[in-house]
Amino acid sequence: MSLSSLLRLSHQVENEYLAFLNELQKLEVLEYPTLACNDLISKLREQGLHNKDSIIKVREELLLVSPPIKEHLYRARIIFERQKLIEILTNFLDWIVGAQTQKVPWSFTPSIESLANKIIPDYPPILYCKNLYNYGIQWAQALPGNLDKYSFISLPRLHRSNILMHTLIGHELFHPCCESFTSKMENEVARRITLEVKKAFPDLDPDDLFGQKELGRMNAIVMCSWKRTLHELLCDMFCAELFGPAALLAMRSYVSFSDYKRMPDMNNNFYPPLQYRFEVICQNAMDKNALDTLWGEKSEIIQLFKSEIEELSKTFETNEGFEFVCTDNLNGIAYAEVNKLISEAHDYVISKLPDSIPRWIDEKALVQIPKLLERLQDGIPPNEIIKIKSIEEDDCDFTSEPAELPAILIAGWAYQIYREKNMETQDLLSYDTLSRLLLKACEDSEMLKCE
Amino acid sequence: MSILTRNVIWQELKKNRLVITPLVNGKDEIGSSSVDLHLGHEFIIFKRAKVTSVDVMNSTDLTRNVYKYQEKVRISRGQKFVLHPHQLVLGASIEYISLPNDVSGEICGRSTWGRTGLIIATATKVDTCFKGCVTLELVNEGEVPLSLYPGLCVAQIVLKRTEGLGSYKGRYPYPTGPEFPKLDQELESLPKFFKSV
Repeated sequence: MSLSSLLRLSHQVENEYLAFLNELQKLEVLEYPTLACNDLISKLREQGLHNKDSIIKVREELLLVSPPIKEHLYRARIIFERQKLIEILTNFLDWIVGAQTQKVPWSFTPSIESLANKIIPDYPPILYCKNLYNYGIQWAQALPGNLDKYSFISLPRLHRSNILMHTLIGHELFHPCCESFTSKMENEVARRITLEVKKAFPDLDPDDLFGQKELGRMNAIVMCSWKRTLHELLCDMFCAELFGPAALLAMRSYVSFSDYKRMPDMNNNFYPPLQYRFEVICQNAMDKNALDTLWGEKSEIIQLFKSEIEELSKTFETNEGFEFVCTDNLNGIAYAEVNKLISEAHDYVISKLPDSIPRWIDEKALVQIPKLLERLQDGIPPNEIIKIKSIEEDDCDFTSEPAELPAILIAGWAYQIYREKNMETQDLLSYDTLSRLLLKACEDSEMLKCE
Repeated sequence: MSILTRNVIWQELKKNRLVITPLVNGKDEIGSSSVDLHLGHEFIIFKRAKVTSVDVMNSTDLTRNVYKYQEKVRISRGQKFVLHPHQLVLGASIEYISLPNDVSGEICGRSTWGRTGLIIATATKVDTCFKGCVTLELVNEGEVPLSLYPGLCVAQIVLKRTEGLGSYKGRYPYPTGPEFPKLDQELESLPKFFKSV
């Protein structure tokens, strides 16, 4: 490669960085529901300017160096600077575009920020919508330098204001906490898995090169399946511990079009079968006492909600999901190890739930749910519980208790179940109105908590 | 028709017949014969460069292209929204109101803001049984731009007991922020005689 070609490459990369900085300038003036976005944009600008300067430095060196030029070294340096832009920095542009106020459920952002600050305080969340029917989270991993201080939570764009389904954000928020659970026991589990794989394939000789390679490959598959499954289950249980029946119903709604029995494999990134996930949630993470307290309320709407949840739980009383996955040799080995750790995983989830995080099993939330439901039935946002104690001539003694997020979501789901069963015969809130009232409630309750 | 005083408003709130939520300023929000309303975060602005005219006869186009002519913006806490002289924007109260079937409301400006030229509502009547955040049609009639912030107390609602009971048959049920005008429905309500030209 000649000097002129190298110079041309460096100019192209510099121009790409200039275009990147220009895009950031455009994004900077837009509205975001969280300051984290503006903070991120300034950090990206710093990074972009720094990288652009590096490219200019390479070019200056090139012009000064006396021949013969070590072309391959300079080329590698230019490509390295370009890769940082193309493979890493430009991803942020899409995330920021999707994080604009108009594109996200902005009323819900303060509630999620408040929750995330307690669960993953090192990674302030940035919510963004994307054109995929998927919830996801990206954090620290693979983010360079000072850009690793955020978590990016993606929501499906067409469900932007579908707050009931956004209950699943509770699942996503726990992903950054999973690794510390599995890494503790990874070695011990790997040892057991190696033995089990060897036992399952007696024809493969570990001393033979082919056998050794095959066994190694299968061990890796089982470990992947084990880890992915545990991570998903930890997040499922966390979401259920936060939001109880709302988590269960949100998950059911989200997977309405999915196959409950899909074998985990490399193509689906070892995603555990839904049947099994529901079984684990229903059998381990739904607090029976809290449910009994909730069902103590005798209103028609709560009783209908009760029968829905009981019917759903009944479907997952079996071990059908586990039995299904065990029909596959390798997954069977992985899931046997997973099953041994369910109780420990549940304890780990609980240990990560400080008292400052409102949960659905809290007495406060359980008391609030029926009252918030009454408000929804009256077409009023379930944002607070007001108690007027006494009214004097010119004064009033009253208290306002902001609604807790789990209580808002459960009340919303209870209303939605009632809606589904009665919308043909009664004049009920539309789903859109219900979502708007719930979003307003979340925003108001966070505001009231700040006061 | 009689105006509800503070004591009566509290009584109605206690009975849950009347709902005003949240009471952002605590009990001070209820005045001697009115309730304070605070400016919310959302505004609808008209994209003047794109609007040829607001023509009810061509309202289908206006409704279909609502995002072409108007834009919803949200201002975060502590940030300002600058309302320029003679500019009209739609805002809404933070307070969500639910009126019983024998109480209607009237939105009034506050004299302090009135002195700066700020008009907060032109359609000031709130029907019985209305539920929602009150839309404010904000116009700066003054000569200098006004900086508005979410949470500012810019309006108040005077509640009046009606003679007889009413119901709500409006076009804007359960608004939680400002809503785009539904001009196509305006055409529907045009008397037959005037439609068939």
